[in-house]
Amino acid sequence: MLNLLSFLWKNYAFFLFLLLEAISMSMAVSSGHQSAVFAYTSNQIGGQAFSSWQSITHYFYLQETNEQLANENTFLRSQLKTSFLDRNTIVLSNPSSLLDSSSSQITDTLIPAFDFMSAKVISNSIHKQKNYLMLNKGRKQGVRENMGVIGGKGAIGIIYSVSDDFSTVISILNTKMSLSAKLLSNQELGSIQWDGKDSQFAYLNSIETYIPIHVGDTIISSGYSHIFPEGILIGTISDYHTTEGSNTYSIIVKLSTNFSALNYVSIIRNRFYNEQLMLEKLEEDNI
Amino acid sequence: MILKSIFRFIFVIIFQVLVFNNIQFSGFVNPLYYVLFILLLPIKTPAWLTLLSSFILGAIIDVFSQSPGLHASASVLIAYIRPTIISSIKTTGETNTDLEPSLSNMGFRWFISYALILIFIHHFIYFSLEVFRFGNFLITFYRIIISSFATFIAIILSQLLTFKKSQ
Repeated sequence: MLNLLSFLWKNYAFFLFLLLEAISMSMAVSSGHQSAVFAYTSNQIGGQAFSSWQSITHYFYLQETNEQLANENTFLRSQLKTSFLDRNTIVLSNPSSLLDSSSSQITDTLIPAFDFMSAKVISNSIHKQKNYLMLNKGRKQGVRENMGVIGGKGAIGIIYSVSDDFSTVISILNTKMSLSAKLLSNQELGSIQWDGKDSQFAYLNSIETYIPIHVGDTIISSGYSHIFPEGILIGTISDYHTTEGSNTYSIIVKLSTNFSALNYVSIIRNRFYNEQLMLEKLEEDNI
Repeated sequence: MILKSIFRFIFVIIFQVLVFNNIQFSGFVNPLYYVLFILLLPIKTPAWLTLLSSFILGAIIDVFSQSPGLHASASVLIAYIRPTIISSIKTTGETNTDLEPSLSNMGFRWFISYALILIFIHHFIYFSLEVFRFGNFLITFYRIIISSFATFIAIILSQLLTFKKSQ
């Protein structure tokens, strides 16, 4: 017993080393509860530090940010209803409301399914294999897991973990991430994945080779994940080739978003997310 | 000496998290400057203190870079092998084990080989764990080399800035 103790004592450095390595390795490979705890801590502590740092550094990017916002505004203005010629006849349920100009739009059957909330990026990386962004909005502001995040130029990622005041976004530039996407031209479904190399390019998988595609074709979100509305820009095809023995293309997509210069983003809340998810689950259970 | 180490501990964290984690050219270069703290711990620091402080340093960097356990395990490893590396590199003349193994104390050639070896091992562990698969090892290796070099340059530069002519 004494021998054992003295052996342990003599080699305590080695055992301490093993213990600490075991702790960190188990963190590195863990998933589920433990990694959720880590994500939350990292969120709240990191968020506080980054947001105070951001309040200093964001002055340096004001011009760039203004330009981006102005461009986005112009684009959004072009999407306004008044910018389109409306050939539909509007049927009013209550004719008397015509007289009352304030309530003349009540018969619109469109219910907004998606809310948008703006947020500031307080930390961002593109050089890792698993890149995350941190935003300055959290649970208190109504952010929840699995909401979509888009920037002025297209899709960015999905909310991954939320703490009280901050949230972490798993960006498209993360090898764990896969995003449901489709070709704008023929609505063919695929999924966007990053290979961990170049922050400007990602891959579009599972488009079969009989489908005609061209360099420059637009890739948009499919809307089937219920996270993004349909039609959010993701990128354009920059190159594609076929591999022998495989019936799907290998398509390289130039991402529309420049991930190294993100300042303000929008968080998308799908009002019917839980409902849609529940329905899908019901279907699965029935099968 | 202890105060200086504590100060350096805080300094490298701030510098790593706020400056080096935001350097994003080419998407490949990611200097892990905080390794400097482990390199410069006084030679006769007890093993438990080296291991624990490196672990805590790595864990803090992990929290700020959303990479659970990666920095911690790489840091603990180089903290463990550090004494072996120190004793295996030949020195000219006597070494005072009270000192930090810094550029000014140990001389150029000694420090360069010391820093290169430890930085390379650290980055090797970090980037391999980050990818966590063995396919495409060439690209991971390329990342290891490039980032090791960037870290090395950053550490040498910061050492030159604080260079004091040894007596």
